[in-house]
Parts: sequence; structure tokens; C-alpha cells
Amino acid sequence: MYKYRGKIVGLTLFTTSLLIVLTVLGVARAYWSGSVSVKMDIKIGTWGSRIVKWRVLRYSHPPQHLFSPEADSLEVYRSNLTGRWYMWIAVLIENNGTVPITLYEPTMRVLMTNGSSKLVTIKAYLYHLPIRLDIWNGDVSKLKLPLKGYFKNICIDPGKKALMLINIVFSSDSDIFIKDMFIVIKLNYRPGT
Amino acid sequence: MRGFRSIMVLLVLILMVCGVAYAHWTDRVRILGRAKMGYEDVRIIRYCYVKCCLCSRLESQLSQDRLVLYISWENIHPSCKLLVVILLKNTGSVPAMIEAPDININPQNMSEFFIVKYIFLGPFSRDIELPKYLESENLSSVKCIRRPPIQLDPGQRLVLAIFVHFRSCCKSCMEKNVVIEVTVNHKLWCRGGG
Repeated sequence: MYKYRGKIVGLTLFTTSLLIVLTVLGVARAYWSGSVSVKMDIKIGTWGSRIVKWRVLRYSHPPQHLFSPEADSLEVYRSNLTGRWYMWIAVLIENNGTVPITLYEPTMRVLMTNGSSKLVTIKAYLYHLPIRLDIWNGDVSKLKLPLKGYFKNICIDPGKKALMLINIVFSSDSDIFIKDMFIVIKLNYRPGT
Repeated sequence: MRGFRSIMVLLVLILMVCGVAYAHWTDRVRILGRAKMGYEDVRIIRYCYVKCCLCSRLESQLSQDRLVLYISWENIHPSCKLLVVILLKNTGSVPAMIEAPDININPQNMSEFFIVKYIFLGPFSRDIELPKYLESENLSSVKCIRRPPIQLDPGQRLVLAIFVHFRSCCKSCMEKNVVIEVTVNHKLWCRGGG
């Protein structure tokens, strides 16, 4: 036992001195350096739009079906089309997110039994609310469409609403006959102003 | 016998005279010096921010030791931008070396949706107005831009402008929480940059 006593004492001394040196070095390093920081906690908002209500204002022939399967889309169905057909729809759109959105002309998808989808065109006219006319309940047969003061795109604040007038036109020069036509109109918006 | 006594007395007298002469012609000069160690310290002395939109809410708080600026930025949307400008000051007594900031975005998968840029302006010897109208797109035209490492002498100020741009548009990002941390490390300035 006495044989290794010297070695043990030496090893203990060496370890202790190493620890002291490392501690001193660490303190010195901390003393001569530092940092300044900016911490940002970011929470992303939500964005979305929904169709609150709609009304067909004018048409050459009434659509067979017009409904909103999802909050941000409308579907129009019409059969036995020939020559020219048009329709005006008023849509009330609400920003149901927490950030402003910019509403653009809606996107459209046309499904037809025959013929080209290029025969169908869609135009959108956007209005800030309120407007003077009561287009939801009143007589709209004498309205001059589109109403004046429209925008190609508008910004809607959270919880606010906007009016969109949609004009769908099917025009064919030839005597093409379309058995079924199905149009899906989807709101087109982007978050931000 | 008398001769021996005389020699001894003479010897004693000579030794005394030599001792007095030695003491008269020698002296000790002491130089007393005191060395006091300096300290290295950089703090945020002022800050400001500019956000692009009204819909987002922003709160900020500077820690008591002026080392950390906490910013809470809520309800942001794609294309939102934020400019944070902080004024750093070397409040220590030795020159500091400001290194390039480390930028961490958590969770990692959100880092592709955020653009974080920074610039350093200065150093300035006087107090300055914080620039609030910097645009991240025109950074190259801003004067006084310095690239790290930057030597910041005691009392000098340095402007750090941080731009954050949220550019995603996917709905999967909605309601996510993201933490962006920009850390500016500094250490004692050594000649030669070491």
C-alpha cells in the first residue's frame, strides 16, 4: 500500500491543479467575452375568406343549380346550352381570418360534356361596403350592371365584408350544343395588403 | 604593545569612515507601480423598430442588464416585414471585437419562410439618431456599412439593423410559433484580430 502512496498523492495534486487551471481559464474567457442578443417570438396569424351569401341578379336562362359546397367556392350547373348564355351573381365575401387579405378575380374551372372551356369567360367586379343599393332583398331587374366604382382587387380587413359581382358568359358562334356545363368558381385571395 | 593598540584603533577608525562613506554614496530607488485590469463590456443602449403593417402587434422589452432585447410579434401574415435597430455601446474600458451575428430560427423547418438580414453601421464616437427608414432591398446603397469583425473602442457606438421578412404564403404556416434569435458575440480586441 505504501508502495503506491506517492503516486496517488501525485495524481491527486495533478488533477487538482488541472481543475484549478481550467476554472481560471474559463473565468478569464467569460470575463473577456460576452454576447448581446435579440430574441423574437413570432406568432403567425390566420387568413381565409368565406362566402356569406349570394344572389343571382340577372341571367339569360336560370342556372339549374347554384350552391356553395365549400366556404370559398360556388358551383353553377346549367344544361342544354346553345348560342349565348350569361349570368350575373352577387356574392358577399367575408374575411374570416385574423390578417387582412387582398381579393382578386376568382379562379374558374369549367367542366363540359363537349366543347371547349374557352367558350366560357368570367369577370369579377369588387366593391367596398357599404353600397347604397339593397341588392340582397330589393328589385334588381333595372340595375345597370356592373355597378359603378368597382375595383379589380380590394383589401378586406379581418371581420369585414366585400361585395363581388360575377359575370359569367358562355358564347359560341357556331351552333354547338352543350348538354351539361359545370362551373366551379373559387375565391382567389392572398394574405396581406 | 602600544603599536598594536594604535593599529587597532586606526583600523576601527578607517572602517567607520568607510561605512559612513558607503552609506553616503549609495541609496536604493524603489518604483511602486499598480496595475489594474480593464474590463470588456458591450450593451444595448437604445433600440427602435418599424413594422410594415397595422394588423400585427408588437411588444418589446429590454432586459435589466441591457444584454437581451425581447420582441413579441404576433398576428403576422405573408409579406410582413420588421426592422429592428439597436444601438450597441462599448461600456467597458478595453476595445471589443464585434463578431458576425449568429441567426437561429426555431423550428428549423420554418427557416425557409423567413429572410433575416443584418447590417452594422458605424462605429460612431457620438450619440446618433437611429435610422428608421432602412430598406432591406437597398442595403448596398447605405453608407457607413461595416462588415464584422469590427473594432469597438471604449465609449464608441455601433448600430445593428436587423430585417425580418416573412415570405411564405402556405396555409400550413398559419398559427405557427417561430423563435428567431440573433446573437452578437464580442470579445477582447487583439491586434491582429486574434
